[in-house]
Amino acid sequence: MNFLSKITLTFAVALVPLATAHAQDSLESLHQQAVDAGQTEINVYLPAVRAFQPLIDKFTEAYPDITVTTTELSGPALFARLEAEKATGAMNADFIISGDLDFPVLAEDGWLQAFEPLGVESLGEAYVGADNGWIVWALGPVGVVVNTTVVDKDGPHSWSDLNSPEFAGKMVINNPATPSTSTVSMATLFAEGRIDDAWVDGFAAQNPSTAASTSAMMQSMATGQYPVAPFLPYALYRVLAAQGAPVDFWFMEDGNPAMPLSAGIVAGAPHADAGRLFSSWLISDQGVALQNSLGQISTVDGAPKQEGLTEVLAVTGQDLSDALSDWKSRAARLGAN
Amino acid sequence: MSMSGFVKWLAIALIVYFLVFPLLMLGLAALTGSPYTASGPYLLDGFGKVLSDRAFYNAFLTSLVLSSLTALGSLALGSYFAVIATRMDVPLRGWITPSMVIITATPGLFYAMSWSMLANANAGVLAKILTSIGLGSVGQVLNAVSWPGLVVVSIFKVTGFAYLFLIGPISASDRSQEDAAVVFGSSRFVAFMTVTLPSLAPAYLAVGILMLVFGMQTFDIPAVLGVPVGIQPLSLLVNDYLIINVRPDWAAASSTAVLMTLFVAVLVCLQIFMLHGKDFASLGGRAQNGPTRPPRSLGWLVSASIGLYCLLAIAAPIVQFVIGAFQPFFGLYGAWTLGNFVTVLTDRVGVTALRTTLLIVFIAAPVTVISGFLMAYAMSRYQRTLVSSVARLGSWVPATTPGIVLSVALLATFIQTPGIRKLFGSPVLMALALVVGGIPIAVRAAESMVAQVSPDLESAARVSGAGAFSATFGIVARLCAPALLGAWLLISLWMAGTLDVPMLLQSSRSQTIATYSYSLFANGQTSEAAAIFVLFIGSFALCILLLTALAGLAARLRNRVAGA
Repeated sequence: MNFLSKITLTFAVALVPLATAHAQDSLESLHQQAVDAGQTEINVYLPAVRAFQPLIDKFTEAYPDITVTTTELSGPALFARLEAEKATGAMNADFIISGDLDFPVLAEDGWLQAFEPLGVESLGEAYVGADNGWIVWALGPVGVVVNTTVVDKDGPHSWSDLNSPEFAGKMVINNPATPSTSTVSMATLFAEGRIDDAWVDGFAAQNPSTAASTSAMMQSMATGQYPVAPFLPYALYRVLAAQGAPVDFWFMEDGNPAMPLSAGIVAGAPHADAGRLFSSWLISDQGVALQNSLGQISTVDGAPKQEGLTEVLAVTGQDLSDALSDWKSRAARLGAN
Repeated sequence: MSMSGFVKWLAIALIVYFLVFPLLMLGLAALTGSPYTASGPYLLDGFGKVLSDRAFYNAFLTSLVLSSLTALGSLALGSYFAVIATRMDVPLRGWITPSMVIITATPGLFYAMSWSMLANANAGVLAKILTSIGLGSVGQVLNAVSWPGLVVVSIFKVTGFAYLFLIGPISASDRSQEDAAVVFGSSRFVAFMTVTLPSLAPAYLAVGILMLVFGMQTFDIPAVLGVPVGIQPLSLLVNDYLIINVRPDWAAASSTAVLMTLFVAVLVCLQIFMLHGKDFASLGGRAQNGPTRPPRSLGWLVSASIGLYCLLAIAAPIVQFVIGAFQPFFGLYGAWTLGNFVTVLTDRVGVTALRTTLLIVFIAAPVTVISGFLMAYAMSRYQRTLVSSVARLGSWVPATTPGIVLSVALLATFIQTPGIRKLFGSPVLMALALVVGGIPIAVRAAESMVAQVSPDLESAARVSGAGAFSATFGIVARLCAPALLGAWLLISLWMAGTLDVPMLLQSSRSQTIATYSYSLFANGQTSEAAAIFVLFIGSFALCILLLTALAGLAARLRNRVAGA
């Protein structure tokens, strides 16, 4: 290491605590702003409340004077609820967490208010929504989860493995017609050039079964009915493993797709200041540190990722919408209407 | 305006507001593409999309076949067991009603999941057992995830529903005419089929149509047992309309609901046509016979059929469901734990969900039953009047609409009403919506019983000086009590298990066990989801036992006071 590098590193090391301290100060000022405005609660609408509970608990621990109320809403129920609140003039929603695919539509329909959370400069350009309407704060890696009592295949693994004859009739995916985890993952892999049309034909010939929900997919895989779930989030794999299910997650040598998770403050939110604090906290040191333990990856530059993960493939915003449109004709080959 | 006139118009207003107005909202949503916009432009795009979609016709046909087979099979099985329970003194007779309550109480999702684990060729428990005794090829055929599997499992599950509906009318039917036929040489079976069964036509038609309609809306069982093999009924197609794109396609979903309502309207017209001009009153205060003992060999055969049904339809899947609540991972044998119960009981949200659900079933469910009884009474006693027509139309609307579409229609109705809109987000509005959703069950249960109670009984009471209230509730409602209690049970269990209505209308601070367990299930914590349902069913059964004991105690005290 030359002298200049040493000096730079010394400065960098010295600046990290300073930057952290500054961020903490700013978070505290956001906190104070919320409390001064009497906003001691925040209503968060999100899918899979249970999966995010540790995050909510940690925030509550950091800011015990702010109560977080979660409501499990996603898809049509989320849109219906927002419209109902607007129609009654009694907005309850402060903050929305959902898959990134929902956010361009939420923004287009005027459900989001612009806000640049503290530390937004540490997010890549792809992770900040149009007009600062939302941020992609985490990525949920997706991979092949197998029932180890039925499937015993040593790594390294690649996506071409799925078209091996030994897996014919043994795989289960989400409905390929809906923008589910399976669909987004395949569209991402296709957009990133990790699978091609020949792979799609080969995969269709394997006759994968369709499950009505991700939960049903997990259940049938873990009990051995369909022992291979090619597109299951790593976070859910961890839940299954913690319960003693005989499962294994494959980190692929040609990279794993990731589901982008986004968050935004609702336009007209009654507790927008508290929402600003929550949004900033998600990408703060504390929020970032928690992501890995939840089986996710923070989108903050340099955030740690899961051991064994070679490459994270994520497509966001308009690129994701385009990738899905492009994928639609191929999804038909998998039985989608 | 007289008091009775005021009551009549109030009833019409309530029915129109809670039951007919949501139908108009659905129609508007089908035309405008939004459940919250009454202003135009009015387009027929939704209907155009649905009617030009080949998947719609396939799904309609699939639903029709599935629901017809399920309705026929479960009506036959339900009638068989209801007749045994009310008329035959055979061993195991006492098992029937508790078994039917248990099977009805078990959530459809878990029932289907249990069957998918019991009977699947790859890893099913039955397949493993059969393989171990050298019958592996039979195990490969026993597959719940198939058309026959879907139909059989649906029949098993819905039989509990059919039984609880039919037990009231069958136990109340007068046997003197049947006895007369036997005296004149007919066999008991032929007499039952040709004399008693036709007198129960209102009950069978009402329950049959309701089950056909519910069968077309059912989601959980086909989602688990049908989707993996490409079976897509109407309910799943409507769900696809809502989730296939990020922005829900309300126009297509609402148009499907409107088309379903038209289909049901045709069925109801058919029902009215078939029953028109006939009198089905058979309950005139004559004495009923108790159960009789059949010949010994027949008795054992009947008992064996009860045992077989209990084993196949109830014990196997439900034991799997209950056992699942004690497993670290649902369906994986080898380890046992009480941890799932500890988790949900130490979770503040879980305990609140349990308490809220119990409050709903003991407050909102009785309100639903009373409302349903009054509507059925109006339909029976004031035929060809405005109140009867409105009640008949209103009583079908909630049954014809897919879950989330009904919730949105109700939400749209409530939020456009000054005053009521202020209740948005409160448990009161959620309870009101659940009452509306439960009305079809309550009306169908009461409708058949009210038709069997002769109006002469009320006339006699009125001549003797009783008021309208005393005659209606003291005589008709009292005679309908078994059916109304069955309806309360069904509605309670429906309210506890339904997901769509609470999801849109609940307060953020309160949940029902349906939303709570859905959250657990979505996160892969299926065993904990099973545990909260086991806890609910246990608490519910305990409450019923306590109430029964209290009622018994009160009756004993009353008798003692009367004796003194």
